[in-house]
Amino acid sequence: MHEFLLSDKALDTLLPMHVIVGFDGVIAHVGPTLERLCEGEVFCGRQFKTAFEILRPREVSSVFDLLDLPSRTLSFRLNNSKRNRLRGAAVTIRDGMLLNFSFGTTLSNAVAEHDLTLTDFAPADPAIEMLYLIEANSSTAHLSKHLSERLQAAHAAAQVQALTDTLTGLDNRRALDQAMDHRIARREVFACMQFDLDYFKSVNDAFGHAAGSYVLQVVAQILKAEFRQQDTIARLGGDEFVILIHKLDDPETLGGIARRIIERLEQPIPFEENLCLISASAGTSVWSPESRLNAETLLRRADLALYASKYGGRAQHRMFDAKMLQFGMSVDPIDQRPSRPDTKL
Amino acid sequence: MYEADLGFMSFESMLYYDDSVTGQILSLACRTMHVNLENLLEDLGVHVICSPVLEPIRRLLRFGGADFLEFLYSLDFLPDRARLAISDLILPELHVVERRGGEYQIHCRSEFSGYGYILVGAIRAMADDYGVLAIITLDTADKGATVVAAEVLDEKHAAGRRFVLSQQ
Repeated sequence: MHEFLLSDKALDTLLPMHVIVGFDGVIAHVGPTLERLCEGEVFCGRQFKTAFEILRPREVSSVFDLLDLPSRTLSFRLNNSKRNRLRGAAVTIRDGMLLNFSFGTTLSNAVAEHDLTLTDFAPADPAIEMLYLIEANSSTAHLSKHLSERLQAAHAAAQVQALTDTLTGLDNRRALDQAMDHRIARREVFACMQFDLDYFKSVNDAFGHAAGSYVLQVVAQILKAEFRQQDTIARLGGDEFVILIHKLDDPETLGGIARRIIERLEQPIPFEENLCLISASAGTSVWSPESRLNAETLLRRADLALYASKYGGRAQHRMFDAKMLQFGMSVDPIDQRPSRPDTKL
Repeated sequence: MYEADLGFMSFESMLYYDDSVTGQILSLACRTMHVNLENLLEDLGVHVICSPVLEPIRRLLRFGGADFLEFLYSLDFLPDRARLAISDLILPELHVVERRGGEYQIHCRSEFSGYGYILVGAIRAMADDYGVLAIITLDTADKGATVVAAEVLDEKHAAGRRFVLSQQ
């Protein structure tokens, strides 16, 4: 076995966190970085066990017991700093023993707490790389988190756009289909009220498309004002509107609502120097768990009731009635529409 | 960004874009700001170090060394360090050579010939950051082989910018 002599200075450079303990258990020398952790307290000349708490192994009477251990994991804590654990290793030297310490996972804490700098670490110590990695990781994680938040917001905005009628801000056909499916899945009673504007085409023809668009926006405002938060208000395109009315199936109440809305729609709508005059026809069908209707059939029933109103003289409302089925199939223009054979009317 | 006609409106820092986009953006920036490409790239190098928004990059570079010379030598490991931060980030290989006393050459292999100008700006800004008086110039800027010269005149010229190891 070779023995080498190392100066204090060499040890300080190579192992800036070492301690030399004499055979009497007294600290003879402390490396410069470890000294910084002492925060001004003088460790030299003190018993090792008064300066350091030995956390692992538990049962040691003398610091020299650390030399003949089967386990290599030694764990310490400076008595002046309860927070930062140190990992350590102990070896015999000519004048006693040498213990060297390093920060484990407490590295970042210790650097912040004791304001350590690059020169406090041995040149070959990967601790700096570890600090670099911790900081690089937190920066990139920050960026990635921002990116996913922005993507999420963009996704949500796209979703809203995909479900919104751009002209009126009401729900569109896709949103209506989803809302009907949800309500049916929840097995809650609701009414499906369909409006079709009367004389809308004349407004468009007489005053132009700008007037027509404006009228549709006013209609949307009226519907938003008349219905509740829980109701679904959708524009199907053109001058057709459908409202799903939450937990309402009483024909008289529904009729009252429809008439009130038709009256409001008949109020002249001023656009530039003109007054736009419209009205509306309406039809309503009701969904309940017992009806066992699917969304498509429910909508067709409201459509049939609406056409009954139209052909009955416009500006009126009808509830769907089974008699309309014959009416619808023989004289109603919806006959020409494509209908799925599995649709139960 | 409208003029660049790239089909998108902003960049995301963690995503990849086609190399051709870089050229388009740079030439548009030169036209808009009425500067030549060399000056723009040098300023870009300075910006990467000095912008408060990009402070994490300055900090990560300061991990390279306690003083400017150690920092210069750490450039040898810059691509490896960058990969530690972002595993698929590829930076051009750098090689630092000491010439005579106080004179250094940073050799760089990059497909992008403008990279040397960015290096000049960034190293100059890092010298200021360390408080060092140094002359940083571009020796050669050939495609694939760029050499930046650094002459350190005064290592303790100024206090430099504050750098503490622990993240505040």
